[in-house]
Amino acid sequence: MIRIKELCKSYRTRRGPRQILKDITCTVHKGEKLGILGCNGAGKSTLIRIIGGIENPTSGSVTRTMSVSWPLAFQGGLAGGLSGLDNLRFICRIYQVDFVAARASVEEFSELGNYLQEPVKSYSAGMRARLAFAISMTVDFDCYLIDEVSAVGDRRFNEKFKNRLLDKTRDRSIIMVSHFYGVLREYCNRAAVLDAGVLRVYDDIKDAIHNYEQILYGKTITF
Amino acid sequence: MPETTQQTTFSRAFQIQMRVVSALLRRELIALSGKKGIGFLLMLVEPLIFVSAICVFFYLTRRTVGNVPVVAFAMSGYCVMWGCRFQMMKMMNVVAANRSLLYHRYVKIFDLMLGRSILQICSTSISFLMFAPIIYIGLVDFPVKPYLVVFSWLAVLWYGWSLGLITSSIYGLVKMGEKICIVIMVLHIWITGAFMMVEWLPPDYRGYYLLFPMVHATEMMRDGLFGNRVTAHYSVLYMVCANMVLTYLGLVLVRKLSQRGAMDDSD
Repeated sequence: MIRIKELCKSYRTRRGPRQILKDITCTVHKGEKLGILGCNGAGKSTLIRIIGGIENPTSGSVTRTMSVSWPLAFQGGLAGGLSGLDNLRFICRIYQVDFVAARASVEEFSELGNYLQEPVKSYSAGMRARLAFAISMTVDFDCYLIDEVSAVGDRRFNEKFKNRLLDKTRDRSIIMVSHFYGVLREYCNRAAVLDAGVLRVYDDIKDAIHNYEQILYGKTITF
Repeated sequence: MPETTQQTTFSRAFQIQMRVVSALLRRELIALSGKKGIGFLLMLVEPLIFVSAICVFFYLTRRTVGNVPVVAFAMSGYCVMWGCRFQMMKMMNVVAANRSLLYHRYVKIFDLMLGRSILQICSTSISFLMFAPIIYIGLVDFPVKPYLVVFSWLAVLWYGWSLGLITSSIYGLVKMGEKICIVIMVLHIWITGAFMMVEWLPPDYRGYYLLFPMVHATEMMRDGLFGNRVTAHYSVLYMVCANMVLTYLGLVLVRKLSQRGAMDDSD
């Protein structure tokens, strides 16, 4: 279970502090799959990073009683200077996973072939996503944090990934940020809308999308 | 501080940290060497080149300083200087260079610094052992008080480590961080006592020079190497206290940087 309690986060900007998240309280139980919708700059990635424990909230708390993955995002988590395999090696050491088995699985799943020996900084966004996903699949987490990565994989890989993830996470959790309603419908059983720093959770994804659309088209975003 | 994780016991946290630091060490080695194993060798050679270049230079200009061979004099000073400067230099940008690894919750900013400094401590210490073959061929006499040499070297590493924590935190915390670090680095060419001995100064000014902790280390090193042939001025107590204060300051700054989060580039 992940329990978020009265979470606030503000960033310092040139014109003083700007509050991104206001008093968010929310619980994600094991097995629950939560999608998060929000306009650009609403604080979705920040929220994911705080849940992942790599950024500190300004106030409030996040309590994790299950293992949570690192936020799978476009970048982050992989060292650009190292090859794909060395990155895997590093992650295996940190999370105590057997490297040989993990290597076989990553080779098979990512289909990156010889590119696994090349430095990650030479990868395209899609290849990086493949590697990040493949590596994350080798570690057993109770909850996966996914920050809009499904947008870069090609369709075949996305399907492969979806099957693997859903297979693996049948009784586990996902917290996912995406702008694609289709993706959210496929993966999630609940959805939340993050707007003006407030998170509203809907039991029905349809309601969430409906409300999100109203917010989205009802205003012009000013940062 | 907001509580973000389950409470972990100290021993469990320690285990995780050891695991992370050893993984980081291997990572650094791989990144350095491109897996060919030359990287670590290069790291060893780097301080060696500096020290030997300066030795040759001094050797060509004059043979002795006072009644001490110039090579020994130069080496004792430069080893101390590089012992602390190399750590500062290499730790400076360690957080910026490894930011993407902080995506893993177990990897803390302090671990990044620790991994890098362990590597530097190894490399500078091995080049410090250059003294051994030089003593062996008779260019320098065997240290009069070896324990002082060892103790002084440990103090240098400790000082370098503390300053490394300070500079790498400043680098991340302040906009002008890089410039400030460079000033601190350049300053340390002069305030480690590499070029002269306290004895050479007029008695009235010695006190001011001895305010810098590394001067004590260098003097102690020379006392250990040359014994009665030089007059050394130092206080072990002062050096240890200064190091403790600097370590404390360094840890406070690291904590500040960790709380702020290196993910946040917004200043």
